[in-house]
This record gives sequence, C-alpha cells and structure tokens, in this order.
Amino acid sequence: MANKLISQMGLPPSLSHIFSARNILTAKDALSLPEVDLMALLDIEIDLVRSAVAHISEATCPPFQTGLALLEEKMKSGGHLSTLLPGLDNALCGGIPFGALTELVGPSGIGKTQFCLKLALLAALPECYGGLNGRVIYIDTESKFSSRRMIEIGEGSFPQIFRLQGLAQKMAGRIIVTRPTSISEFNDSLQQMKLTLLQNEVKLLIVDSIAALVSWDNEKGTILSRQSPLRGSLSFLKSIAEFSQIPVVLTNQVRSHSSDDTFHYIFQGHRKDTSNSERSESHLTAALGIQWAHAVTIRLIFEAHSGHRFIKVAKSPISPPVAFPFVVESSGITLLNQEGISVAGSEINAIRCQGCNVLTQ
Amino acid sequence: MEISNLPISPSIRSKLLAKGYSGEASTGAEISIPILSVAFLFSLWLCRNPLSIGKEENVQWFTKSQSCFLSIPFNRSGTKVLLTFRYLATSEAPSYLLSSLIGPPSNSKFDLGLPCRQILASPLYTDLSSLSSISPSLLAQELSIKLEEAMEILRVVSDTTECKSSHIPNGIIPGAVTAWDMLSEEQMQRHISTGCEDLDAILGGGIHCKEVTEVGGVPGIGKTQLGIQLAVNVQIPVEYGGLGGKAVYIDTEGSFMAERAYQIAEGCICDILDKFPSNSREFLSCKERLQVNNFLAGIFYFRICSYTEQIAATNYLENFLTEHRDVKLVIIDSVTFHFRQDFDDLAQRTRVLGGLSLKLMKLSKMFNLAVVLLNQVTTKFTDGSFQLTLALGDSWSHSCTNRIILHWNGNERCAYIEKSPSLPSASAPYLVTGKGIRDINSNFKRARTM
Repeated sequence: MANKLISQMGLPPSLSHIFSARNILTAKDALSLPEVDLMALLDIEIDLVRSAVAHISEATCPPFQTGLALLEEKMKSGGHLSTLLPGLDNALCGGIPFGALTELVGPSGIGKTQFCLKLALLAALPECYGGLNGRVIYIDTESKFSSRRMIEIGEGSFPQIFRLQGLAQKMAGRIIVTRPTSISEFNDSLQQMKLTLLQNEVKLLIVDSIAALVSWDNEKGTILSRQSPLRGSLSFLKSIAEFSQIPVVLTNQVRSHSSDDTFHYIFQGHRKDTSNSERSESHLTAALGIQWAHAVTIRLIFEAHSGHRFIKVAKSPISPPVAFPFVVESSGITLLNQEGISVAGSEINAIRCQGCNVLTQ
Repeated sequence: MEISNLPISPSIRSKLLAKGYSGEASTGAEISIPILSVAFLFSLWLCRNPLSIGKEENVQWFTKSQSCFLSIPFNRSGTKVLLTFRYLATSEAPSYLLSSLIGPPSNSKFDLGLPCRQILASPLYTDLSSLSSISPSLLAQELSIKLEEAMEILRVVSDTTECKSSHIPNGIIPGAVTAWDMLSEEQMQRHISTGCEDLDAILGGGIHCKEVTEVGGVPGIGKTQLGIQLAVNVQIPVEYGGLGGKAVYIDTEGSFMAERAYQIAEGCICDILDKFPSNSREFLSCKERLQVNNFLAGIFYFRICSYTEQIAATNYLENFLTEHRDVKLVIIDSVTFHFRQDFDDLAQRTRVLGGLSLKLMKLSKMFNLAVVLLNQVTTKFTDGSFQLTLALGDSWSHSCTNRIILHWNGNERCAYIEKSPSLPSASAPYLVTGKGIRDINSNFKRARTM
C-alpha cells in the first residue's frame, strides 16, 4: 500500500502532474514529508496541499475490519499448528499461531533444532494425522538440518505412517531446505518466496537460526549497534506471515550478559539485584537485542536448570507465564508434565543454562 | 452622495467643487489635492464594508509629482463614506488642513475625537494594518498621548477592520474558554477504566478523554493486554459507569489476537454482571448490549504494514471519526515499530513524528476521545551506564499528555506515571489474568482455551 502510485489515486489531473513533475510518485514519497515541506517543494497553497494529502491518505489507508470479523476469519481458517505436545498446545490456545512470528530462544544444544524438525514434519503430514498437508521451507543457516534425524523422529512419533516406504519419501519431499550464506542472499530468497508461497502451498516457514545471519555481517554484536542489519528482513518476515497466514518459526541464540547491567529505568535508580544471586553465574540473554524482542509475537525460551530442561512461554498475548519440563528422545521432544509450572514475575524472561550437561542426553 | 453633504470643512469642499467633483461620480472618482507640504492624513469612518486600503479594485493608488493619491468610490449609498487621502510627506504638515478633514459625520457611531488627528499627523501610520499590530503603550509613547486614548484608538481600528466579529463568550479571544468552564466540563467527563482499581486510582479514575496517553514497557509486560482491555472497557454501557463508545485499534505489529479479545470481553461482562444485581431495571434494559459479539463488533481494527500506512491512517482518521461519531478511544499498538525499522534519516523522522503527534492531539480534542499510544523501550547511555527509556527519542517525549511506564518490580508488574500535568507520580501494581488486567488482590483463574 505504501508504494501505491499517486497518479492512480484519482486526484485532479493538474495536481497529479505537479506531484509527478517533482518526482513524488508514490504515496510513500508524499506522506514522508511534512505538509510545509511539501508546500515548499510543490509551490502550491497549503489548503491545496492539505486536501491532496487527505485524499492520498484515504487511498493509502488499509480497510478496516471489526474484531468480530477477525475472529470469524480465524475460526474458519483454523489458525494454529498443533505441536502435539498437549500442555504447550493448551497454553498457546491451539498451537503455533498462523500469521505471527514465533521465536525459540535457548542456549546451544538444548533442543531448538529438534523442535523445528518435528514442526517441519508435522506441517508436512496429511490432515488426517493432524498436519497441514503442505510444503515447508526450512532456511538453515548453520547447516544443522539432518534429514536422517528427521526421519528418525518421524518413525518414532508416527510409526504407522513411516513404515510405508512411499509415504516417508513423500513427506521428506515436501520439506525444502535452503542454505543462504549471507544476509543479502537471505533477503533475496525471502523476496522470491513472497510470490510463490501461496502457489506452492507452503504452510510453514522455519528460519534456523536468524542470529547466525547477523553474526556473519557484524562482529561487534548487535546490542550496541543502533541500526541492525536485519531491519528490513524483520518487517518483511512479518508481512510474509500476515499476507499468507502461515506460521513463521525463528530460532535465536543467546549471548552472555555482564552481571551489573540489568537494565533499569531512570526512575528506578540503581538497585543491586540481591535476590537473584545465582544469576551471576550464567547470565544469558537472547541475541539481537531488545528491538527484536519487541518484534516477535510469541517467544518460547528453552533453558536448563536444576537437572531438567524447560520450555517457558515467555511472551505471548494469549498465554499465562508457564514452564514445561521436557526431554529430547528419539521421537523428538516430549513434555514430562502436561500441566506446566506457573512462573511468577520476571523469572519468565530469564534464560539459565546450568545444572546439567546439555550436550549429553 | 454629494460632496456638499460630506462632513468636511468648507475650504476643502470648495476646492473639490472647484475641481469639478460634484460627488455623483461612480467608481474611481479622484480627489487629489496636491499640497506638497503635508504629512500623512488618515481618517477613519465607519463603512458598511470596511475598506482595506490598497487591495480593493475600486481603490487606486497613484503617484503624481511627488504626491501619493488615493481615490475611493463615493457611491456607497446609504452608508457613511470613507474618505481617505494620502500624501507623501515632503516637509512638515500643516495641521490645519488635516484637522479640517477629520470630523465624524453626525450619526457616526464612532467618535474619533482629538487623538486621531495626531495619528493622522504622524508619518508612521499610513494604513489600518500598521495600526492593528501595535501595542497601546508603544502608540501612546510615539504620539505623546495618554494610554487610555491610545487604547481607544486601537479599539476603533480593530472594530472597523472586523466586520462581523464572532460572538465572543466569556473568553476574550474567540475560541477560548475560561478555566471555570473547563473545570465543570472535566468534572462531567467519564474516564475509561483499565480494569485494575489501583491503576484507575492513580490515573484519577481512568484514562482521560481529550488527552493523549503514552504507555511503554519492555516486551511481555502487558502493553497489548492493556490496549485490548481498554478497547473492551470503553464499550461498557453508560448505565454501568462506562462510556458506551467504540474503539479504533491500529495494529502495526500484528499482536492483536481476536481470541484474546474474546476472552477479555467475556471476563469484563462477567465482572459487570457480578457487580450489578441482576434484578435492577438498568440490567434489563442493557442486557442485549452486553454480548461478547457486540463488544467485538465495536472494535474497528486497522492492520498497518509500513510507516506510510501509519501516517495515512492517522490522516484518514479525521474522516473516519466524522462518520463514526461513537468512537471514544483510539489505540495505536505500537507507534514505534515501523519508525524504528525503515527510517534512515533521523531528523526527518523527528519531523514526521511531530506532525503525527500534533494530528493525534487535535483529533482527541476535536472528537472528545482518548488516544492511547503504546511504545517500545530502548537503551540509552546516561550517567555512565545503559538505562531503559521509551523509544523514539527525546523530542517524542513531549508529544503526549501523560506517560505511563509498565515495568517489573521484583516479581510484580507495576505501572508508573512518569509524566502528567495533573496527576502526581505514583506507582500501582497490576496483574494480567485470563480475564484481562485486574487488581493484584483479585482471584484469578489461569487462561484456558475458548
């Protein structure tokens, strides 16, 4: 909508000539300037500018829907990809939602890629088995995708399907893996995808992991850099998700965090966090900074402490803060406790990696 | 109108008649009395259509032999004539000529009196516009007249230049209101409850209409939840203490979930039915309105995908709100997202944001609704360490009326009023439950599936 041409908006011809003469061709050009600047540039009166801007705005503004219409749409199209983990599905009100970004954050080796492999499989399954019956695009930046492991997960979780030789091949054939080597390649493949997603019935997009892309281009780390190189990709991913109403799952890494830098507001003053002394041992935080944290819709934190691994629903518009203990088996991730443990307070955002050796099962 | 009927001194009259002007002329009759040594002459009489000197097509300026003349039509029937001469000063003014030309007509409402002659004699004041922008004390000083006389002159000037002054109420300037009127208006206003009584208490009853409130916080603290809660609470019927209006929800991040709005609306209706006894008359009349689907239908949802669309939507809101007069709340969630992504030129961003905030303030005053902006946080390096602060910079922080920051206080979520012209800084804890935002002491159930 931002690139709508002014010449097609139905302005009086004299006005649209003036706009195009000064090289203001799209709505974005016209609306990025304050009215006074526009008046100076086009050399017309302020009243005329105001009415032209009002006309352009009306044409550019997207149409509205009522909340009720939104709900009905959601009901019709299902709206969730079930993860087959009952506790998690309950907490997320059905599963991974369509049309929104879901982020998986956790230290290395904790099970994020295993989770993604299982999700890919689930989306490829026919609908009678609870899948989405569609293709999956798996963007693998760290070369972690292992089809052998995926078939193993499939045989463990759905033995009756995968014994049939042809079906396994068909399922695996629906999962498309791409390995971009730079951010620009990544952006290019996203652009191409936007056009072909609907035609090819792609039902799930997984990016594993998105933090690796950034670390190639920017060695200094992204907390301090104001202009993240992923800016354009982020809004593009969101628009892909909304436009084609598919779930988009992203994996993120963790970075260590110096212990005295727990961020506070100016009015809170400097307070030492005396209550959480064990934090200083393994103070981890999600990579890509706070701007990224705002941008994702759902954040699932994978962490390990006191001998167990947990999946925490850290940020979600629809779920309470709960944590589920899990283990990684041959059939993928299994929850040990379907009810979940309610987590109070800002603990839900903490990422811990201690208490068990995460590299061994 | 005949020259012989003009209230001018006989000497001038004779001069005019001598020149052959009898006064029956149509537009553009010239009066030129080329007296070289004269100062500016300027006399004001009331006219039905005030003449702004120099602009009218009937009025002609011309110069001839070092004198400036002004010719004015005489044929304004039934009205007092405006007769103005202008001369370029070449030497000192013979004031006898000037004073003879000034003189109010017999039925004039405005008696110019003596001080005007001194204006007329002054070389500085040649037309109405130069008199209209001067202060009384300065005028008094320049003409060596008393302050009250200067104020009188200026009053005459302003009265003649404004043909139809609009009805001025108690406020001395058109469009202004007195503070007492504002107070009585404010006391009658209802506020939008946030669902949490502690939070409502520190906000003075809730979110105020006619104001722009900014709410910011770290991710996951409950900004979108608060937004959805307000969109539901604004629809509570007037009989139950709400505003009975609709809401516009402008979503830039895609975080509005219709299922969550359903849950919150359900929770809100449930609480209203608990609070008000079911056999009262009010309940019976409003029962049909308290349906979850009605509440959902009262939220107008815009999904914005770029900052251009955000600007376009804000501009379009004026038309939209004129059509939908029952909208009482506009929420933008969040106002920051697109402006952080795509803008390279920060100075331009500041200007665009400034324009946006002005428009929103204007909308809130014009349509008597509340505007709530949700903002993100960023880190800023101050005092040797990184501190959290709301995004979009320092210049944006002036654009809102009230500013609330949601933060973690230990294990509790708290709301802190950081900036407000009328509310003291205070903090209140709140809870996000399955039913929405509630008090920290209320019983809550965990969110379950629908």
